[in-house]
Amino acid sequence: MSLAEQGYRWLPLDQAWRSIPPLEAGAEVNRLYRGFTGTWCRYIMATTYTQQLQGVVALTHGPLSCVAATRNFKMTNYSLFWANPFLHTPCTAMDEMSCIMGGARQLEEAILAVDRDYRPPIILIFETCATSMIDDNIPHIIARIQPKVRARLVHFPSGGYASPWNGRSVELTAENYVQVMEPPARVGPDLVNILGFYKDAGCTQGRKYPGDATELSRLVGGLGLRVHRMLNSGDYDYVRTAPEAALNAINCPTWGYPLARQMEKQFGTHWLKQAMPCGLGSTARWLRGLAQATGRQEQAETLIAAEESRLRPTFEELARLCRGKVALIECGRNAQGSLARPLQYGRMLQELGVESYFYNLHPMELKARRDDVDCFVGDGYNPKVLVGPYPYQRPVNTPDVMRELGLDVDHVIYLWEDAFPYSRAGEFDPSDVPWVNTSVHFRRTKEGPFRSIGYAGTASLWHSIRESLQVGQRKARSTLYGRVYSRTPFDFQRSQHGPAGAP
Amino acid sequence: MMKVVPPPQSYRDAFQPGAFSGAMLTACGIQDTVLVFHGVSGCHIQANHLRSDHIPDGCYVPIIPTGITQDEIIHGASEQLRRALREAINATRRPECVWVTVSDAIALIDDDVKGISGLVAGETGARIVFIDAPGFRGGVARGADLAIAAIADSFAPNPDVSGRDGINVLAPFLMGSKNWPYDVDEMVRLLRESGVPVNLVLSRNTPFADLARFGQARAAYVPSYEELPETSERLAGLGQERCGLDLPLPLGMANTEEWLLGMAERYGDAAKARAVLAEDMARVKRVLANNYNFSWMASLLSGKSAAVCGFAPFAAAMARFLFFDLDVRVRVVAIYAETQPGLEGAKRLLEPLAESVDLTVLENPTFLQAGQAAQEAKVDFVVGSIQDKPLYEGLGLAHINLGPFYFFNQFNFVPWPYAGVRGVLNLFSEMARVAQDAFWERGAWGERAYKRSPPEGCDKRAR
Repeated sequence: MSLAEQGYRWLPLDQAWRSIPPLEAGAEVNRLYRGFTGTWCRYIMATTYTQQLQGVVALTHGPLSCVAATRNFKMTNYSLFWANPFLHTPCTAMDEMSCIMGGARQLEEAILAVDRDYRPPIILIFETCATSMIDDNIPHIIARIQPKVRARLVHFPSGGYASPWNGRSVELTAENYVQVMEPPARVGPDLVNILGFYKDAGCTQGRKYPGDATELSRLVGGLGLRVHRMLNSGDYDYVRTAPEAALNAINCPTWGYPLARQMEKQFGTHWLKQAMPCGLGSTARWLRGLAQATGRQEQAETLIAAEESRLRPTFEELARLCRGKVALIECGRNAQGSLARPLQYGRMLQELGVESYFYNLHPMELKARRDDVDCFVGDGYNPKVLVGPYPYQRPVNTPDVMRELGLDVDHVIYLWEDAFPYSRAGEFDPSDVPWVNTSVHFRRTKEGPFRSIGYAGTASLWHSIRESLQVGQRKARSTLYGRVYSRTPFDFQRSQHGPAGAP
Repeated sequence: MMKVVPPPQSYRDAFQPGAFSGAMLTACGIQDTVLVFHGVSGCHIQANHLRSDHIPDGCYVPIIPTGITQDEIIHGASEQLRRALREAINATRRPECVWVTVSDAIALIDDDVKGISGLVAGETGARIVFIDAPGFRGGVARGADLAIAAIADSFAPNPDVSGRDGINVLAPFLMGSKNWPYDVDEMVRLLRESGVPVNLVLSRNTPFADLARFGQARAAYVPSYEELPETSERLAGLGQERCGLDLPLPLGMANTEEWLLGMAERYGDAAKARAVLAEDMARVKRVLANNYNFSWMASLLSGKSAAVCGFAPFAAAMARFLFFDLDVRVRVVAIYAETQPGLEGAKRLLEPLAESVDLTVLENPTFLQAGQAAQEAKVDFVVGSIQDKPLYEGLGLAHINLGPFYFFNQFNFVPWPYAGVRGVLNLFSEMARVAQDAFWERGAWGERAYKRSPPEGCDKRAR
């Protein structure tokens, strides 16, 4: 059955978003997208975001099981690969009895003990499904205990069941950080915050591979402005004093927009909607937006002209090499929840004359990312997205997408997110097709930030694309990964059975 | 001398996956079955990730989540469960059995999971087994306990006990080794070659039909000292004893000798066990004898100091391996267990070390406590888990992650055990890796790297 026969269709991004029922329309969602369950939960996203901060303690009021859920993958991964500090996660270790009888006393005792043992400046208190449902009155407990402890106590509502959709969990988490902030003593007119760092601890030193923070700091500095805070990162004082900046610029809109809105509401901090500068056009727009808001137009034009002049020859050559190619951008074959980053790449590729098609984005995850849609459509980028049933969150296979679009491997560039990219030796492998590793988990380059932000990131991504175009021509000697998933892992098998080796 | 440090009274901070993960790890090693996870996505992903442990040389058991949202918490989620059960049963290949477990939220709203499972089973003729193991009921051991009991009740309620022999191996993942799938394979091989019939492994690539043999063993071996009340009750009803509670895990030479002879003397043939040990040792000697690299590393490790942190059986066995086999002075052992017997069993096995070295044993410590203890003891390296690696290395301590599960980022693709005599080759290789981290002076390489002078004609001030 073709994808169309299975109920899939290509829609422009904004139309795709509108075609999907609201997140809370349970019956309709179950009918259209059987077996959607989400991947993470609000608690996991909330505690993970906290890990990007240094010198804080995250106290979980709930069973140990929930702490294990967040440490099992995200916390461990983000320390290993993203320079996040080890987060101490004391827990009230609620059991069956305390779920029945209530855990208020346990929480009080835990707060006092954690304050005594860890001596942190701030304790962020999270709840889980269990404690949220039995409604232990955490704000009341905090109000009573706060005078007895040295640490500042902040409650983060985080019952997991409240949001299985990644985008909604992010929104609910990010906007909470305004609680940690305090009204500014004074506002520096040349101070700029950059909001919307996730996983990336925003640090510019002590890392092997540059992140977004390195390049964005350079760009902001190039306008004669100063980066005040990059969130989430730093310690309590760092976050607390974020409102001292006159302006919030945005890196990732998913994480940045909710916090920016709250900071505007609470502290009057102005913010800019341009986000994820990648490619010559969008980086220039990001800089010009910043310049316009701060009166640095001349510096911006000087910087833009210098960078574009340096990169123009590479751009033109790559545009020539990409002529006639279409990009297939997979939004996470595994979790089906990446949107902002893939759109960033598609927008960049558009400058090179490459049209992009987005797929393996679950409609419910798309619906939960209103900010991402607004950001990119508002910037004039409205590409085609494959909307369909994705039953039980099963991905569609890339060759099926190609068949649907009438494409072959010689006219495709494959960009992928998350984990478990599609690969089959002899059919669709880095040796067969330009296969560009753009996964946030796995992309690392020494030349530029791994999320391809700014001019340095754009140049490094162009380099990767150019190299992939060459690598994908050999049509033999497939990768180990492709062989493992292929029925014809060896070149001799393909010569016996013909080029198509897919199951 | 052994100094025992208890945990804080008012809070815990440890890596303890929930009971549903223990249920999943028991059920998802049984071939041709499916697990329906009735609950919230965050709990499901924990179970789903840990299911990876069963994949290498094992089997793939699908997990179908029901993905509960706030609406269903308020209105009930019975319909979601019913639908998921029917989907599981009506799949392309009908499973031999559908397991059902739940997350906290479902347990709290008290969806009648057992009733719905019974209804669907009646409608379809399928076998459906409900394992009531939400996260707040305990950890992995608790979940395994509940799952084993459910399996015994469902598939071996009135077993034919005539002619029964050998042992069952239950919940092998409780051993706490990241290499447990290959470790249990080796343990089973050693037992069988020592004349100990292994009746059933529950579970590790276990054929579904084997479950009916649950009651046909004389004894049950669980590589853990945890109290498992539900399992114990079923074993008592079947006249089976639980064995191995006084034995270390077979990690390293001394532990393997004690474990295998202990098991063979009771359930097999001690002479055969001695022959197996000798034969395996001959194999090991062919690799290590006269081996310059082996001699070097063994000498380097001798007299060094270490901390060990992990699930209680693994931590105790690893500490003994380091001390007895490698002459490493273990100064700190952090043992994690869900029950007091789990802790006591490990501490008993550490007593021989305390006769020779000053040993601090931390019972269920927080990460803060464990890190501080290791740092204050000035150990040369730490044997721990992938989850605590950033903690110890952040404190400036070399660290090797050998526990507690295969998931996550535990990159071992060589199908070779840590357990047994042969496993010493793998275990020693791991020790060599951490020794490199501990003793190679990497920092100096960067500081003292050769830097070329600038070319002729450049700023002479550089000279």
